[in-house]
Amino acid sequence: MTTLIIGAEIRKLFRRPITMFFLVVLGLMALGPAGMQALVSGGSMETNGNAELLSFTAQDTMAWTLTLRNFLVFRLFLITLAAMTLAGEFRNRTLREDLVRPVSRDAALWSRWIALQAFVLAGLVLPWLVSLVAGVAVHGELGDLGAVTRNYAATWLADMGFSTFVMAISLLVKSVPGTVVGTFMYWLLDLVFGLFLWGLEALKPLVETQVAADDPIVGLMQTAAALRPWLPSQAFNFYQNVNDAGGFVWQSMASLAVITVLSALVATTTFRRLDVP
Amino acid sequence: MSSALVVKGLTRSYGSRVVVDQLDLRVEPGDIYGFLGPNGAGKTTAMRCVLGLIRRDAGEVTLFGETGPRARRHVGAMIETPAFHLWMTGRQNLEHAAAYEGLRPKEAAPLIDRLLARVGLKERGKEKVSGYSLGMKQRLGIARALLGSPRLLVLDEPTNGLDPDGMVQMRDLIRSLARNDGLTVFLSSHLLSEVQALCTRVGIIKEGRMQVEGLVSELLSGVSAKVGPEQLLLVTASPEALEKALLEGGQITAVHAQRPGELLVDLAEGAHLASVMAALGEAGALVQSVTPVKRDFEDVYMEAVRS
Repeated sequence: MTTLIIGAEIRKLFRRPITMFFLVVLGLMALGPAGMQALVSGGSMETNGNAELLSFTAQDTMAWTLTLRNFLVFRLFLITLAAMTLAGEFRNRTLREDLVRPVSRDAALWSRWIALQAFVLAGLVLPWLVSLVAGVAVHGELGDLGAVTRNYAATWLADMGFSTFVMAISLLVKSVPGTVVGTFMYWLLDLVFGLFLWGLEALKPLVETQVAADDPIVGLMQTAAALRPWLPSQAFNFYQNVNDAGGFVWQSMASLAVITVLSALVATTTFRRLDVP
Repeated sequence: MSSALVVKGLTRSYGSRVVVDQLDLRVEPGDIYGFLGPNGAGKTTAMRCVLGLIRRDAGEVTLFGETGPRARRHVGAMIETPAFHLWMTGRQNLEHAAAYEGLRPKEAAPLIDRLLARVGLKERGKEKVSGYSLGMKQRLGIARALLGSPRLLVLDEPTNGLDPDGMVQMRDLIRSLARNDGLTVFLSSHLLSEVQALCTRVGIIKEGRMQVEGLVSELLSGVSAKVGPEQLLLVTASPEALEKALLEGGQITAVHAQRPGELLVDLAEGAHLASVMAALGEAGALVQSVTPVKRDFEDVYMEAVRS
């Protein structure tokens, strides 16, 4: 029965006109980097006095596309859809119509989550494929597909965590605009806090020249530097820390896992106790 | 055989306000049970608790002897104006609901065809619900409620917002489902005439507590004794003479002011139409018409909510 519900939720999500719109935008967006690279390819860029010839492979096209995708665009789509799937359905009362049926609340919640993951996957595979084809067509060279695909895979994990996080917020605030605003408020706070930690880290060498090495302020700055990779923003963007050899910042990965599990627990508990009008 | 629905000691509060207070009710298989009460009496909260949409603070809900989410497989529900995914067609909405009933697409397809035909939407099933009228949505809501082949149909204000024609259609459909398909129906409504016309049993709640529960026929027959004497409406050219004759003859106990030439009188204990006519004949009072005033369900309801 759960399989049937999952199938129904996936079909429902992909039948939403806005879902198709988001996918079309992602597909078109994935064509952009190839176009930009085609324009500058063959030119040269001066770095430290050395002129460097600009040349690209499909790997670069895919990497640029991923950066473009992850720079707010996809996250905004994900926040919107996650909010519509839970808070939206709560408000327009379609959630009620599902919950009067002989299903557990957990099944209703997690089938929606799986549908969102299907969107996440489509939102990754589509740019991956479009940018690969466009990159090969424009540059004629593949490059290291494995390395860039690892970044896409890391993004998938991060999006999975992020969608769970948004789902929890959506259930707590029970409003689509509230979810969007709430998520951006978190993002802003995270950004400010991250900048503060980065500032402390940047000031550390200067402070070290002024005070003794065992001064508490140096310890505090070391702690601040150690905290940064644990921030949610670092966790949700941990694909940026995955290097070509497949290495990654383990703290961000661990933080992502903690955030995902905590969000899942909050979402499950809130949904079980939710009074549906 | 188990009762279709048994509610025992159902209680739900919002903060310090007790909305449903130790509510007990029982719906037997085959009943068309009308659940009545003034606005804010706790009907909607109680119905949502029965369907598991709202948590209960205390009490027990049993559906055909079972409890928990799985027990809801016996139930089809339509709560107020049914909500649909407007970007999907009527048929797609039913397919979605069928999955939640555990029906595979192949099993669901013929059932959906049948139900769309049953509610008169066979030709409109492939249209997006955003283009449906309210009446069509209500009928699609009934089709959706019937998807799991339920034994109990829970309907909250099923005719809410419908035009008179839509109300008649909905009422006929409910009646047909109860009579022809053997469904037990548990419905709430503000329309007393609707409840009187449809229901076999009623429960009237006030401030979250059950005030009166019983068969409609029993409650109606008990009206005279409960809410006052039987009444007659007399039309005459000489009301003063007529009132005097009846009072002196001990046939009536009170006269209520009506339009000019009309008297509404409360019959005394033991008096009836024939004895009143005889008294009028003896007194030589002329009367143009005499109409026994039949009390209806409204009296039962008003007595229950005013008590």
